[in-house]
Amino acid sequence: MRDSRDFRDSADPVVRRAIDELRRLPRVADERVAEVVSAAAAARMLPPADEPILPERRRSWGRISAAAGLVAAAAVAGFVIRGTMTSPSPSRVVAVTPVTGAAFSADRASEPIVEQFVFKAAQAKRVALIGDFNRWDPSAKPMTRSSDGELWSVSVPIMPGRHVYAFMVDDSVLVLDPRAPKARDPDLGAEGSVRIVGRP
Amino acid sequence: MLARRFAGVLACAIAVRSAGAQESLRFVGGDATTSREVSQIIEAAAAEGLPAGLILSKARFALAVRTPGPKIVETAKAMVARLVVARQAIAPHKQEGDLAGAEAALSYDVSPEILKRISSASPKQPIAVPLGVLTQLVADKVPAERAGEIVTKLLRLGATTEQLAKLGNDVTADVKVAGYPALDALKMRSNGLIPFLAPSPAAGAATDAAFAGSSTGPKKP
Repeated sequence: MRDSRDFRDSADPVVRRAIDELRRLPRVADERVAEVVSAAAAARMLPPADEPILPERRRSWGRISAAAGLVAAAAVAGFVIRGTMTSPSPSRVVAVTPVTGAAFSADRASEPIVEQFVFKAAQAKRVALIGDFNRWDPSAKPMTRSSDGELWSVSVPIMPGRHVYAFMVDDSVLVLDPRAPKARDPDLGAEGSVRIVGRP
Repeated sequence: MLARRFAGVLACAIAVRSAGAQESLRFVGGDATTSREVSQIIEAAAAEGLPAGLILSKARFALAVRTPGPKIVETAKAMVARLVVARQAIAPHKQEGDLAGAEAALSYDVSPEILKRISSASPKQPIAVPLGVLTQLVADKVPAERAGEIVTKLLRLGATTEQLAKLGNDVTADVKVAGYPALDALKMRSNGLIPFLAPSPAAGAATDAAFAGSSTGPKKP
């Protein structure tokens, strides 16, 4: 039985790193370690003699690129399938209605997208989201206080585009979203928070 | 008897709904004169087939930020004028979101010609997002002509609204959070996006070169 030190002396840095990692783990029988390392070394594809020798980091990537491609393809397929079978994330949900054929892209592009807005206001009694998407109507979108009482949240379906908004606190104070960029309205000189929404 | 009752209920429901719809376009706020004048402007805009709700929205925003009454009236009038120009500039696009985007861009002194170019670059898709990105870029101090060129080019290369929105949000963060120069940030972000859009490396390289040096960029056939 070869000692793992034998492998370490002759193996390339990938195997050496594996040996080092294994040594940091709780003590395992030397035979088992050697088996694993042997299997790893045997499975490793050596480059053909005429293959250019790349720096170690690039060689490693080059070797795994085919497998990575397959994994990536599977992941993409998985995400596509998952996207069609599971509910989307709560922070950005697309309101989808079934459309078919050539009308698909144009129709879908004009559907609203659900966007979540979150605001911290521990002392507030009421917070409402107001913006161009609800015609700046303070009664349209009251926000809900979180269980710990500090955060307020609301999710609203809004059309793709650039939207200006703010939070109305206690029916009297207009506060901009600290998370969002601001833009000065050229007509009024007042600032609003800005969110640009595009269709995923 | 039952049918007559049903018809009565239906008529009432329609009447209530219509009243509600009319009510929703009435501006209430500020002094009586401001309310009346703004409401008249909104009605006139609706009669012209303009999306009058946008004017109501702006008037309410003005009210929320405590704008004086005469300024609200002036703003409403200016919006009507811009909506007329916007409608012509982006025809045949006529959805409210597209008109809102075009009107907002005009309010930042973007020329109607730039709006026309964007409209023609995406004749069959809504253009609210590209116009919104354009507006935000100009609000971030990117020269309007340059911002218009780049947005138009990205549209022609097939950028999705999500990609455009991300670009707009990223550039804004570059400018507002990190303090980067706006045009540099836009060029950098565009050049980062284009390789994923361009149908061939040659097209990408040509566009890169255009962004690097030219003031007008390569012309698309």
